[in-house]
Amino acid sequence: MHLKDTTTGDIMKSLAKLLHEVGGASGLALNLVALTTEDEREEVEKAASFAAQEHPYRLIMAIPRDLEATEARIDAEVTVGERLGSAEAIILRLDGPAAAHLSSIVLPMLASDVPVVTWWLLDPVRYGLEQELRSFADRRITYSARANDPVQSLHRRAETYVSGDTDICWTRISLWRSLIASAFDGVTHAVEKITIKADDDDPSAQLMAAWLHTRLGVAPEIVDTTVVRNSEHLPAIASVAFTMAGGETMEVERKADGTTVLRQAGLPKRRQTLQGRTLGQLLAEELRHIDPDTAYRRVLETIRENAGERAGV
Amino acid sequence: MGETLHTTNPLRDPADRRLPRIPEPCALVIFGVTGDLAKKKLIPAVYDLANRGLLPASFVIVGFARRDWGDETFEEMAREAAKSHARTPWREEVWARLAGSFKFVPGTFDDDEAFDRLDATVDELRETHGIVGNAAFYFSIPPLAFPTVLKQLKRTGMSDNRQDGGGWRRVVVEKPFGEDRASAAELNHLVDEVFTANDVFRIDHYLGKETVQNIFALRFANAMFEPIWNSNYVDHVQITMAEDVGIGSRAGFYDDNGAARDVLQNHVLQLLAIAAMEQPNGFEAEEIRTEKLKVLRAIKLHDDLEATAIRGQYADGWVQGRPVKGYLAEDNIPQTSTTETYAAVQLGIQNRRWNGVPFYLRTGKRLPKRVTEIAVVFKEAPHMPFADYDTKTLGNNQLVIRVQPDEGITVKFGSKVPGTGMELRDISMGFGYGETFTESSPEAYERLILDVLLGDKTLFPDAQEVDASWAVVDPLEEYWAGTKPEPYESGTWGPQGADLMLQSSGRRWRRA
Repeated sequence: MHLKDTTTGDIMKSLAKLLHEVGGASGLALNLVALTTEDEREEVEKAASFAAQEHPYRLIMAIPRDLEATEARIDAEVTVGERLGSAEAIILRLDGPAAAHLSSIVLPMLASDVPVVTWWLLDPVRYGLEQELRSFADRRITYSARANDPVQSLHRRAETYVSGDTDICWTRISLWRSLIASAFDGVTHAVEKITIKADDDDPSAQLMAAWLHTRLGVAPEIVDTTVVRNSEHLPAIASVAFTMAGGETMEVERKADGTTVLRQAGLPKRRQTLQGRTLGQLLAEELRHIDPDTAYRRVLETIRENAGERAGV
Repeated sequence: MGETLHTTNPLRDPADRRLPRIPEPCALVIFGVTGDLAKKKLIPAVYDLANRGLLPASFVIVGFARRDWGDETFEEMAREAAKSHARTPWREEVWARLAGSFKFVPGTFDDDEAFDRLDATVDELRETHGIVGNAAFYFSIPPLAFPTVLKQLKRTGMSDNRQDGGGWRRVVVEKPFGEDRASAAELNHLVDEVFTANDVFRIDHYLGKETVQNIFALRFANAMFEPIWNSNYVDHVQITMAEDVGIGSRAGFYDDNGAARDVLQNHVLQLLAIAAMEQPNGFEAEEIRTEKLKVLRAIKLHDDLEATAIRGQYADGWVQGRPVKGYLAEDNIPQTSTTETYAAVQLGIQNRRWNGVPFYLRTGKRLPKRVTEIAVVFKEAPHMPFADYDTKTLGNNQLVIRVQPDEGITVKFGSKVPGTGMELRDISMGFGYGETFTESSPEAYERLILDVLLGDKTLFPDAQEVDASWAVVDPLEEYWAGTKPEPYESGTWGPQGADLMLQSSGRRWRRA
């Protein structure tokens, strides 16, 4: 249902009407508010419809359109169970000052008393919307790899972290971390040295290093390496190698085709596959955790402390 | 840090919930690997676990059966099985990672040499796959074969937990756990003796279902249900486990056992235990077991078994638009069979919480549809300030836990019909677990196999629970011995006797 130059009241009436026609869909688990651009719309929609299979949510997608316009105007599209999967979806295109007053538009549209997750791929600073989005979100999902300067974006996040912040760059190393963690089952020696071969500019590599630093108490060395990735949402990490106190070594290496080899002293080589996930799968993992991610918080603290040391603070 | 040795994995942090629990490198040895259970459930579940990244880097499946197969033939069969029955989408690269992890040992259960080879095969995995002894033995075989296999495992020493450098040995057994209290005790004794009691995992796949685990959440994580979950507010409880299918190809096994032994003794009583137990002190396996055991031991049959222990046997009829044969006309069923395909019983629970609240359990085959649910039916409101004619169609409040299909919870309560009068009618409010979550809900076997490999016993009934359940079923079987079950038309909700059982106290079965 398309609504031109409309109001939030009319949008909600249309949604209620659609829901009534579809019949009794209920049990929303959360609200997902996505800030995006027309260019990214399709990508976001695809990911959101995938994640909706797992998480029943109301999707509110805000697309700032003609920011120069003097008159505020809202165009909206309301769909239930169509191209956005099972989500109740409201797609907003905002002109002029409407974009800057996003919360006045979004607040009345939120399904009551279920958590609000905001998600943006673009840089909200560009639209002056960061504070605006923070004000009503229980959880904020960003994607620092998409920022103009990804590592700087990660550092800024480390400085300004508030409970509920999270980053797809963190989500996308879960499988890597799980692989490394399971390699450590049964290892009894302390780690003395860690070397990560990775693209130095990849926030995921930085997060990996900080996580290992946090857990093992050894600061890994990142050797800047060009990493061939066969999927966009893979972290740019080629290998992680450990040297133990007894001199033993252990290495997890991912080849370009996804074959991952675990070499551990005294044991035969073990192979696994580690493929990139789609944005939808990553978003679905992210939405599984609505409570504050303390593991992520600690990792960001490590990043902040290390940055402080480097700056000589 | 230098010289410190750590015993726990420093990378595992309970607060880091993104990292899944992954078992240590291990082998899953399946006896009876050519059977239906292995093909349709176990191997597909292993693929699904691999697909979800929940298997350790070193994981090997060892098949044992009376076939002249090599590892390749077994791998090919496993691949077919996984491809046709897996829940998650087929991905070649996931399979590729399992490839080379299939070993097959041909042999019969009384063949000593075959078991020696099996022992050697499992030992070799240390060199070839870095698996230092961990192995789970899955008994997907008829219970008659249990003692033979157990003796072989004991003879070869395969059942012993490894001392040199760690390595657990666990055993997984499927129902039936015996056919009465005495045979179950014997079987339990045998298994517990060969393995240690702590390493025995009894599968009741109902406990692997998300909806059953959700009963714990519903009852113990919420404030609004537990205060009314007792005889002050509950009128009675109905537990239904209905199947639309007949006995299929299980004639021999089924005719020896019947509905009460096949289903009531395990699935239905486990559902009852979880629905009726007291709050456990914690969520550790032992703590939950303590409470389940208490409630199972508090079960008391009604004195008048004639009115409260009903058996039925399906006759010809129509199920879902198709004509079906009666039980006695099924292949390999003797004409004179007195085995029940339907059982309904009324039980009481002898404790303060449930004093005077009847629990009605029913299970049967060839009923109108497949449904499993627990319905808690509340007492009527103590006083209604409405005229009788206004509340004529108003029933008791109900809370229904729909275990399968359409997993979820329904609450039924009275509401005003729109209009100028004060007419009241029942409406139901539903929470659909299935509607939106099913797509990612793991199969029961996925969860249970993973728990076996992790050594988590929370969802597995132990020997004492099995014993307590037989203590409920044995007197029923004794009472039924020598009697004929009441025939019921296929496609109906069972024999009349079951309806009368509730009608005598002014109640009726919920149409599930």
